[in-house]
Amino acid sequence: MRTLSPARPHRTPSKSLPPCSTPACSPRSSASTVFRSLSLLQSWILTLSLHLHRQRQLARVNCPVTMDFKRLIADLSPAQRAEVLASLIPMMSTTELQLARQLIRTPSGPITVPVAPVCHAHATLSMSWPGPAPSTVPRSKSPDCACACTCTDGTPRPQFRDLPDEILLKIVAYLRPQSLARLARTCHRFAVLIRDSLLWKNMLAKYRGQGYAAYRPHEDKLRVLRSTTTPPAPIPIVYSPEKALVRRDSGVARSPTAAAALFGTSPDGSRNGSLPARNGHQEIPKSLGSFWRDEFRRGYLTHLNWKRGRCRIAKVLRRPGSLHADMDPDRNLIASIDADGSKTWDVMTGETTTQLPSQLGSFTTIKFFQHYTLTGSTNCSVRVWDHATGQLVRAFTGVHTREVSAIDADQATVASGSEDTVIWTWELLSGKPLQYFRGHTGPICSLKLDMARGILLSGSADTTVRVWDVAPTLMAPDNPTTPIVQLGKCRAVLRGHQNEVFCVALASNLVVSGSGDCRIKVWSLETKSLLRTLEGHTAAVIALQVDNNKIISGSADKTIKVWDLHNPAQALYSLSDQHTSGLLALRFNDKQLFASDMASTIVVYDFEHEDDKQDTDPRAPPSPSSSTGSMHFCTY
Amino acid sequence: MVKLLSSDNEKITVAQDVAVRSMLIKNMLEDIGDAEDAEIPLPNVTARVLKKVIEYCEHHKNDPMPPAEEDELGDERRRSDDIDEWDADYIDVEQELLFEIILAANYMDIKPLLDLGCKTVANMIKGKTTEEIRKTFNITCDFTAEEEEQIRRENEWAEDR
Repeated sequence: MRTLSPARPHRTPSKSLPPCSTPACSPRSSASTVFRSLSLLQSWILTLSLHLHRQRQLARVNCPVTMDFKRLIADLSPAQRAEVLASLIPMMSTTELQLARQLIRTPSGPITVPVAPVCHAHATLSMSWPGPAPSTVPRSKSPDCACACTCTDGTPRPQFRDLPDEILLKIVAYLRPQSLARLARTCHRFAVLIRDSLLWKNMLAKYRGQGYAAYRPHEDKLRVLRSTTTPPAPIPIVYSPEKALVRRDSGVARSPTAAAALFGTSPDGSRNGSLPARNGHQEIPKSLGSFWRDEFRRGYLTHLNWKRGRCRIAKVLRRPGSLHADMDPDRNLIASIDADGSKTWDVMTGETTTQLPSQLGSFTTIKFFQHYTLTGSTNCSVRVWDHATGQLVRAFTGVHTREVSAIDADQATVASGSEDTVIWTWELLSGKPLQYFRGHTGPICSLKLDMARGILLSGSADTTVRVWDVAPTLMAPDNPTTPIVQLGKCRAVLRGHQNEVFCVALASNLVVSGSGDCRIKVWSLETKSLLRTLEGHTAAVIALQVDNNKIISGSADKTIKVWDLHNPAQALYSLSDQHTSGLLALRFNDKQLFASDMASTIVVYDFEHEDDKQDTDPRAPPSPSSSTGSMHFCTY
Repeated sequence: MVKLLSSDNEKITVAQDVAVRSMLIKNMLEDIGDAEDAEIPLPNVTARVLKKVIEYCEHHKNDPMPPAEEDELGDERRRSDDIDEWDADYIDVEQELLFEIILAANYMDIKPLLDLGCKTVANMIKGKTTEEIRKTFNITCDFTAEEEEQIRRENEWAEDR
């Protein structure tokens, strides 16, 4: 049987030190230090394969692992050879190390053989390389032990603090912000660890993945960040004796303590493990390190503001004589219908951006879509206007027989519904009809088109919500540019409301509808069954918007209510004191809610966390100088 | 069968399908070729911990292998309340052994066991105050007064609920 020699996890103590009392730490006999080429080589290969395995894991470097040690190291760069050597150090005697050096042929400069011997436990723990060595600072010193550790029973039991940073980061990734903050306050090591930028970046992604829109990072800030930070260098490892091993991948720097431990250069023996901030080594640029945490904090506090109903009234505007039918919080735009046509204007400056003439019939409905404004009118037409110029792009006429009462658009398709009970879909730019949907017995009040899922929702005055299949476009065989007009299939009829369905919305697999019967109903899109009914409004529910976590509804009872989408026993809170009349429309994004009422008032509710207001100015990106703190802990 | 040698020189023989739950052993077996008569030294793991780890591998030997290259921290579905009954019972051990299992799972590269250990520690931190965390894990506060104040200010936002 062939037996592989175990990678010896200890070095021979130097002569000046007394021998260790522990068997594991006892110096080997001179005979055993003789280079036994085969077994040592095998143990190196084992170590190297272990090392490369870990490296593959961490840096995703694809190194071929072969039995031939020499061939292996021939493929390595000098820096990588130095690294391999560094990883072998804790397992070799001085003689072996010299031989290893000859084999590996590193520039002898930066590598020094550590003077202090390392005992079994220390060496083995630091073998979990290249993660930072956990147990490098002795907890207590046994007087008769040369290896400076608690060797009383041979193996010290690990404590929480002995876990390397890479594992601690895995643990803290499971925590919520509150626990993270409390852990950061326990001791220095966690305070530093919980600044990890990747941790907060992942937290942001995790919360955003759960559908919290507030956790959307500032795009303008990201752009600044991308342009000012250089992409990760292809060689991930920087090696020098002072700074020891610093690994950089995607903005994350490894703690230098692994090598600091190997070479006995730990700057501060009284403190445990990884204290990069302490030894003056700046791991990550401060602006980058705090960026993700600040972004997360902003999102977290904004999210809480939405949940608790903490908001500021950013603007209250009255424009009598107009119905402010659609709003775009991302662009601060309002689309209003008034007696002589329609306008779009900026809510912050009050300036009119476009004026849409209404020569033929008056507008009944208006909707922002991409850089177009879509209007429906009493003369049975739907028109597409260029938002910037106010030019008419396309008119869609000749199919609706009564006034257009609802419009929605998604991707390159527009859906329009009319008082004649029929819904049409058509191509946005060509104006060619695609499908028509027949089945409602009353005027269409609201539409929601989702092209990605091939679904059209419609709410009608006949009290039902219908789910329609949107079929792929078929082109006429004799004319490939002309689509064949198809009859749409009704997938389900959702019955339950007792009055007109004024508004429908779609959130992942849920259909939400608001009706003249004062109720909001939540339906499952899969089973087409009613899941729950939200009661609280005292008049018709006119406007609705949902995201993955909340429903915001506006009602003729002059209140706006915010509901938890998943646990809607009752409304989380109501916003009512600003409106003297029933709500007409509402729109929200991740930080603001725009609402307009029948008395022509527009209210802008701002939920964004307040002390970040000055940071949101795109013209003032975070400069590196402003974020550099004078203390160990940078001020954010 | 694969022969493992613990740090305290105890030889433990395990079935290959159990041993290869450890990516370290799996890769080593691949690297050294003829696995049948090799003895794999695990100088980081004591026999006591190794046996405990093998117990886990034994129970989970038929689980699908976790994807090798996974962006671990980027997993958006990361949650710590999905531990199944056997695992919860298995990991219900004294703190030192828990950390030993975590270190061994990390060293031996057994991702599901490492995840289980990390979730368990995370659950021990959840819901505790700073002082309770210090007490649970025997952490000594090493802040100066100014640092403590600064760290408090830096983190107070997360107390807002």
